Amino acid sequence: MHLEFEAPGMWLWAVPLALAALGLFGWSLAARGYAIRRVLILVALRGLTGVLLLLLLARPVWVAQRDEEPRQRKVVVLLDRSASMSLTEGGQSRYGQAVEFLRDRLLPELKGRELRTEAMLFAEEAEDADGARVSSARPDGQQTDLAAAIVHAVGSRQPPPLAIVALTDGAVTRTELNRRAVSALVDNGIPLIAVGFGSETGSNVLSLERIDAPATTAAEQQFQIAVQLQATGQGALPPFDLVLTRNGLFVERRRIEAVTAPRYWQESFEVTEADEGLVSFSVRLLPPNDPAIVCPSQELSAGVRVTEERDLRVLFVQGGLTWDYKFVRLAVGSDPSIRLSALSRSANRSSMFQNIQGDADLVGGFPSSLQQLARYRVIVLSNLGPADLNEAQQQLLDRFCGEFAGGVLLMGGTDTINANWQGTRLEQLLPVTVAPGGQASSQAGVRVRLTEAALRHPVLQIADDGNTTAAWSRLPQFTGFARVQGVKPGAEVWLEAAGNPASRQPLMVVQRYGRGVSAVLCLQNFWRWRLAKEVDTAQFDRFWRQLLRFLSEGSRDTLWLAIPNQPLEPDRDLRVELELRPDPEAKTAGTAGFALQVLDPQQREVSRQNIQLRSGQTSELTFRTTEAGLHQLNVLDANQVVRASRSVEIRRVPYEFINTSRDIENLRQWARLSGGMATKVEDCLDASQLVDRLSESLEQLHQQRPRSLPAAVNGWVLLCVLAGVCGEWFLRKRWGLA
Amino acid sequence: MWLHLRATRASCHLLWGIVSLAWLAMTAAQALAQTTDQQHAYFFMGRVQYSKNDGKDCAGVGLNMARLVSEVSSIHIRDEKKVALTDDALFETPFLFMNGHNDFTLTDEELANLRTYLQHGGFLFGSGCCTNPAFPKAWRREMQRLFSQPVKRLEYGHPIYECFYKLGEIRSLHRNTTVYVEGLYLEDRLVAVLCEDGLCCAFSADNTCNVGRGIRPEEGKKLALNIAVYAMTH
Repeated sequence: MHLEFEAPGMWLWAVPLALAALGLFGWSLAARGYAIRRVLILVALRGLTGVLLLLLLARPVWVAQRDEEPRQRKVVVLLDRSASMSLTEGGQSRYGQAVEFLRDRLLPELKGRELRTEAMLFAEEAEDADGARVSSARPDGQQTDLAAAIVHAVGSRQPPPLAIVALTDGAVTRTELNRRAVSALVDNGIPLIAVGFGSETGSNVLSLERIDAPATTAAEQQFQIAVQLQATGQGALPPFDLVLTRNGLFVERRRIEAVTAPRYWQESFEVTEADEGLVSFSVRLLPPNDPAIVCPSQELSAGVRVTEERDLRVLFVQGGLTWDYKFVRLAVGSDPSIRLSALSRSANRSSMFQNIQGDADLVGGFPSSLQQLARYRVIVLSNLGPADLNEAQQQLLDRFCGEFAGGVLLMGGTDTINANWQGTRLEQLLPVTVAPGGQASSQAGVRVRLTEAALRHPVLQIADDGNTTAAWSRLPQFTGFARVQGVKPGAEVWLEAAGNPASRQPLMVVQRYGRGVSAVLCLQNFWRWRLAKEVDTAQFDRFWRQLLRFLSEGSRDTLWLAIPNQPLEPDRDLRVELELRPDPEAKTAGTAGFALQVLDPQQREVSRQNIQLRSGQTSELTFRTTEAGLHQLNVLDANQVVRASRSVEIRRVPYEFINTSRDIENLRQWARLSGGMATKVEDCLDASQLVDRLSESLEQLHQQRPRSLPAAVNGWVLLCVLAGVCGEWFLRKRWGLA
Repeated sequence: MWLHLRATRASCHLLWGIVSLAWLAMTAAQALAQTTDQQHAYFFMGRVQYSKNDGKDCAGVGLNMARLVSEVSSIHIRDEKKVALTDDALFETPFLFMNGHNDFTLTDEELANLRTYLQHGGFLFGSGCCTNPAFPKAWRREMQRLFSQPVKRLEYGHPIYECFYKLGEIRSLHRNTTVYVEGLYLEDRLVAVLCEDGLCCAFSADNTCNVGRGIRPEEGKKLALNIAVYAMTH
């Protein structure tokens, strides 16, 4: 590359003129009696500025060397060796098909046209490869980064490649370098010619996706270990087994009968722990006896901390005696760890709530202080209106939920959730905005439908066979529901009215409110579900137990340890949030020192960080681990006592098997941007059409004019011009020159 | 003077008639308001039609029971709903009332439905009418067929006697005995109760059909309300 001027004539007449002007300038200053040194400095500054401006006027450009011999440029073949290329189709892996295509069709064609070729293997990184390496390589790369391979192919060669041929299934998993790769192709005039391998439907993949288990549970309390499974591809998959282990020891084996892909479903195991402590549960998938089925993720683990805590205390407050309380009590009655207390307003509209069960804590009626309310972890408000709760009580509920991580559920129909709540303190707490006055609430019968967001939420998993949608569709019709105006941002709709999609009303909505959770259930006479003849009452009971536990989750410990939503993978910074729960008895917020300890699966300390926690404030820490597996996070106080603990599974996500179908559309986009082409391998019986395209590139190169790029139009030159002007002005000011 | 007196008397009658009519109208309006068939009413009683009984003994029991509940709760109420033990509507009615005078036998289908109903959380309140012993005897026999469990006497101190009104021992009007409520348990849950001493006559008809027998109306009303409150809270 060399420098040329597009307007060289500028120099012939502009330079003499500029010199003359400079001379005149210097003479005028000297004539006024200024010091010669100062005059020379000012002339030099002005001269520098003038030279730069003359440079710009002459329009300098960098000119790329014309290829003297375009045939010196090579064709680079990128061969995808990521794990998705290991999938077998038609009795051969995709990688095997690509190698065969390269060896038997492409290379002979390229050789026939006297085009020089180099090969590269790529997955998450790219490497040059000869024939032996290509033949011996295994398709086991963890990710597919086509862009990085292109950047490497263009940047590592001088002159740049004539063209790039990519033999891949197109299913890329990394895209950070896409822009750079496109620029490299376009700036260098390199077409990408892609050949797509694999099938549009992808291979049959069976995988464990997620495991759900409570972070803590009470001893002697039954809980669930649930795994989400995914089967992709098409057709029937043979039966297979799931095995549950506890601390490495066998607990239960379950046979899963034949499933039809694609399918996403849940299997769960009921477990009870007698002793306190930390227990590690693992669910292992034993692959079916079919080598064509890929099982990338076969084991997931979760840690559960078993505590001595016995009671989840729930306060059920009713505007008047209704059947809802009775049926909720039936639902949780078999769970000894849930303790339900109830208050009901008497008919004479007195300010008192009557204590239904003679609970000693409720002798005075509705709790009058935060300390009293904080004894409970969930408050259920049933069938009451704003007149039933005064401002002070609503304020208490707001603080109970927002500051002290309590759960609040408002349930009822048109008499409860209506415009009367507008503008009240409690409406701020709710995840919905109530319908304004005049907007009719509905007395029509309604059936319930589960939303997509709720389909996979543990609270809504009520069926033993994992068929959640079918279980919810069997609910009876309810007599009516309360219409809401809207759902607040960040809130999640779990249940909605079945029927016309355009007019589906939310029936159950949940949101995080401060540190707690608030929810509404807008159905009239929800108890009808349990009483209905053809239902499984165990599902109703399970729903309530799971819902109450979900609502209570925030308030179990004095120290909260949470893991924000993020990819939990090795070799990356993983964030952890810590918070010291405020003490309702304390008058001022306190500070205390803690340490976050991270243990790897072998119980070796990976990191330890000290932190000062201020009551009521969230602090964030990060840690990094190189291993996959179940890690333990402990928060230790100054006496090295574990105050909070949580297990987290770090795992390498099998990105390559999330989507195994060929992505020819992605390859076509690359081809369009670079002026290349993309084709399916089955449409490319011989490679002549590909090589024809390469020949076109060659021809274009022969005819190509040298490329030029502007040389001086950049920020540095502008800065120098400005510096010169400003410098002269500054000095003239300083020296008092006119 | 006589004419003046006659006119005055007629005026009084007229005035009295107007006042009576107004009172009747108000009462009717109130009754109508409470008996409006509101789908969203929270408390209503299902009046069981069973075997040969059409559920018409002690008419008005359902509404009277609902009124008792409305005195202690702000919920909506409505009149009773007749429901057969073989009806699907049974499973929309959380509280059933069953009374009668005579012996009866439930069919297998009635028993199966009633069994499912009680298992799903329903509650059955039985009362012998006019202290006739035939109905209670039959009731005990038929209930035992449900879960193969006998009906048991609930001693005073049981929550059903204290869940709203704190009731001391209730004495029978015509026998020198204590009135007890009897109950049928499903595991540890009380799902059906019986009072054989004309409870429905007491709280619903003020014993006008059972004069001098059974339970005092005031006590009957309290016990009936306790049963309703118990059913709604347990």
